[in-house]
Amino acid sequence: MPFEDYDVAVIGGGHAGIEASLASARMGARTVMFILKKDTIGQMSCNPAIGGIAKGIVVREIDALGGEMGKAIDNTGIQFKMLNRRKGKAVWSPRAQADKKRYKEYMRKVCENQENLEIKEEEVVDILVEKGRVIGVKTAEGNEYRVKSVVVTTGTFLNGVIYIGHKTMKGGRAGEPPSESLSNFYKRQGFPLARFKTGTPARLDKRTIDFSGLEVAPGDDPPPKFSFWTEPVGTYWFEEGKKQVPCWITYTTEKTHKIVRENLDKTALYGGLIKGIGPRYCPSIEDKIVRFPDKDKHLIFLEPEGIDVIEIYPNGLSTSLPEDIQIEMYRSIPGLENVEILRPAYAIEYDVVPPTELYPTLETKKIRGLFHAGNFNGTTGYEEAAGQGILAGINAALRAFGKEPIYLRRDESYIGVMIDDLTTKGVTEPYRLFTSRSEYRLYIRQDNALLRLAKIGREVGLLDEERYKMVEELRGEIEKWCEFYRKEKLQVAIGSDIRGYTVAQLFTANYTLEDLKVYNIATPEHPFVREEVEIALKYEPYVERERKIYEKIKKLEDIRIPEDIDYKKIPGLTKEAVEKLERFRPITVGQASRIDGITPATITALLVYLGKLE
Amino acid sequence: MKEPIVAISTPPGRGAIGIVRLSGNGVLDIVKGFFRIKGNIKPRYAYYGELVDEKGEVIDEGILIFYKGPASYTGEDMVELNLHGNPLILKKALELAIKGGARLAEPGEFTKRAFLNGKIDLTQAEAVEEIISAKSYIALKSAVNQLRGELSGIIRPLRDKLVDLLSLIEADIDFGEEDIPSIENDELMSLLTEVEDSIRSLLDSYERGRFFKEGIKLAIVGKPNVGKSSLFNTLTGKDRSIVTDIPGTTRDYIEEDVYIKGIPLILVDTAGIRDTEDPVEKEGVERSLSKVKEADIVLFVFDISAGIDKYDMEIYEKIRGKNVIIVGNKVDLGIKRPLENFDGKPIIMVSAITREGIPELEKAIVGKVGITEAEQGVFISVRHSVLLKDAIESIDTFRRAIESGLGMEVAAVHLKEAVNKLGEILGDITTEDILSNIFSKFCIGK
Repeated sequence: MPFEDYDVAVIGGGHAGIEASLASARMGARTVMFILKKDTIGQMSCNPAIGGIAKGIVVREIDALGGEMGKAIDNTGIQFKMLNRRKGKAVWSPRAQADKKRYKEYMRKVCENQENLEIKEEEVVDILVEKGRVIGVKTAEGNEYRVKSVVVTTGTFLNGVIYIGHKTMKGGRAGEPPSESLSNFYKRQGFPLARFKTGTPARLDKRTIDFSGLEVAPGDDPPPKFSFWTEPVGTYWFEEGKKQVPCWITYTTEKTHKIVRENLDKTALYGGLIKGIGPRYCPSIEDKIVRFPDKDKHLIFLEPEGIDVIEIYPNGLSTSLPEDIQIEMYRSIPGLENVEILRPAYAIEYDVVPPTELYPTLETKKIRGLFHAGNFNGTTGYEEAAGQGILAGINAALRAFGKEPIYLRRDESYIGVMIDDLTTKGVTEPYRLFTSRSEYRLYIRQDNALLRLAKIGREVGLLDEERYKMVEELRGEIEKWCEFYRKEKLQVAIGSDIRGYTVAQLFTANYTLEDLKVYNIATPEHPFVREEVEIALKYEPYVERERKIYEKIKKLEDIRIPEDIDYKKIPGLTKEAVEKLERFRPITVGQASRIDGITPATITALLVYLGKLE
Repeated sequence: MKEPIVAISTPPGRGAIGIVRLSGNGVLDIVKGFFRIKGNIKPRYAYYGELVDEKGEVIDEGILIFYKGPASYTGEDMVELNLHGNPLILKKALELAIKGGARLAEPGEFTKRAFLNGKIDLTQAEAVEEIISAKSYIALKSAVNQLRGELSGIIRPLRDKLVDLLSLIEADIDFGEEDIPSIENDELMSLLTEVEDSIRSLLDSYERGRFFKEGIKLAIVGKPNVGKSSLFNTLTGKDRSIVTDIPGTTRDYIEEDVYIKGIPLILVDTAGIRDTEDPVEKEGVERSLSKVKEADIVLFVFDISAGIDKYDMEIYEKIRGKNVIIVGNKVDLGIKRPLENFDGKPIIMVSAITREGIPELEKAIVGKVGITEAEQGVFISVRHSVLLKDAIESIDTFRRAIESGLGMEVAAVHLKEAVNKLGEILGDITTEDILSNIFSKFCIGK
């Protein structure tokens, strides 16, 4: 019966599927990626950009672990910016406009050339399970493949329905059919399914836009890059003078708002068609106008989808209005008076399996060897998907090798924050990362992703020895300089008061290495070491404080809950608490404490039972 | 639900009624084993029955009330037996319950179970203890208010305000590139001040609350033989201090709880303070001085029939910084030199013997305390006051971080600290709700 043998099967070739497939194959697992059409590998279904606040940090974390997304955007990006420059470096985050076509071509090439990775244009319709373990997959073509682990990354394709006004059609993305059979597998296995919703704006014809009156939004110079390993290797910055293309800024008008308000009943959302839950932070224009009636204009970015294409992505204008009214609405905006629509905006509704069905390793609790990653877990964003993808890929391979899966901690990465949030709190709307989701924002920064995660990348075998050695050498140098600056004192006048301050203290008071020039003190040469020493010392006292706030919670993080715990036997637990804990099966007391509805009293009782209460 | 526990809930000693209380699994069955009742038992009804010992002999009659969990104090099944308040009967009932499978409850275990079962929050659990130990009617009312959630009712809005503030900052960090309104420093500072003021007034209530909970320490001070012990006896209505005409009779301090107009006071009679070579008396003087240091109010007593001399002045110098009431005693023996004020303070003229002027003195004491029995609200505990002070400090550091131009991302750490401290009072251990706050306030999303 089995056709062919693989260690790991990845269903889907989007941003999660790519990282999962590459990680698994690079770790030496024989991997197969199932995708309906090869040329949709790495497709950007929505905005033509990678990164953003918090998201950009995730891309650098993926890079540190040995993933591909950072290199892909560095190679195909057409405009690069460091966001939040007005604020401290701890909350800076890189973002880039992508050339969509080149991005997916790059990704396809990398996947096709990856050793141990095979790509099959077949639709998986069933996952085969025996004694609670994955044993294989079955495709629409009638083939069965014996595999040890499966990673499901079906994005918005599971039972996808597309809405344009009151017009609906089945689809996983514009012009592509949804995946319906796999939903049956989940129903059969007793997984709950939820309906989520998201949307994308129309694509506009560049030739019909009048840019003359619009504000230009250029890239940064020097531009930031995402991967430490793209040229010039060993820094997070490109050289100055990189060729980039601009974006443009415009605003909605009173007329726009009037059109939307008068046609609300014709939208899929307010017409009552869509029941799924949409993201609050990525609202459609009708959402914004309804929820913030006092705001008289909304900011719109016009972003090119590539260097030599005519598509323009109007960021901030997703809608589920019918097509004829969309045109009217877009044309009420300065610069777009004569605009032509290439593809209308649409909203899409799709199935997700609640991520509370997963361990923080992204393996399902019900079926061993079955992993979920990406939008299918209720997240939005390419970066969030890729971050889950790489962990799911790593763990699928580890499972196949008979090893224990790993998880990432909240205090070491945004990927860890996201996956912990997903698996303990679940999702009530599409999940996006923000810096405020992290308790350790001043430590898990864009600049030190490599220092935080390279060790894990090396341990699982994704980061090669040579690169890891380079990272460790840099780390050693950084520590040496930090040590020096913590002790070295300078006589500095702050106001009229001249006193001795350690260099570290000066950094905390916003001094930079540049400012130290006049004091004739030794400074590092290597650009990465220079940047890192300055940032690390500046935030050092606050990182400590941050840690202190959560010390209590962190202690809980280290207390493992035995897998065979019987919550019913714990004195003092309410029925509700027992029921919740049994359902979530948290792996640490820390995780238990974050489950919605679990009270401090429950945690106390749990600690008493585990004998961990001081 | 858990193992059954039992305890005698009324104080030791004889009384008209004594109560034995049980909580946990199967407590009704346990009680039925030794308390005979006809018919079925419905929760929350009073049933007459007989307490029967191992030999089947009736020892007492009483009333049984059954509470079905979770609708009970502990959240578990509970039984209360109202028996006659003879220790022998109550002990027997206790024994019978233990034989039936219950375990003797640890101190406070009923309340602990109520907390663990989520029936009450931390501030409420603390309140139960305070209701039981309250020393005054006002302290009792305060504890009851706390039990009813009044403290949470004050602190939660403060915490929510800080969360609002934090949301502004978080929004600026996470969505600063989008078109959300930026934070105005003035607005920020005025919001901060508002919260700080509220916390400070809660902290004030700590001082006043301490008065009510622990009693106000009132020390009687003066040179030997000015009638301190007589005054002590008059105010307490007891003859605890030995009164003689020999200076230095009181060689140590004596304390007594008294209530003046419903306010609890701890009255301390100190040894007369004077230079002495007698080692015993010397020790007494030392201890008196340390008591004076602890006192909230000091009654400085001098003999008005003899006037103020330099020894009086020496003692007065030692207590000058305290909250002092000047008392001219022995007014019944005449007034040597008419004096209205001393060191700018009015002199209250009394006679500990004839009680002349005592009502005026009591009024003056109550006035100094600055509270009345009609006092409302909640008084906070030491734990609360420590956390509130921490919160104020974090708010202060936050303010300075903003003013000195450190980044918002740094300042936010301090604000989070403050939010967490307030959360700790309520027993919260997570800091969520910030994001939902942001979404409800700003139009996020390009």
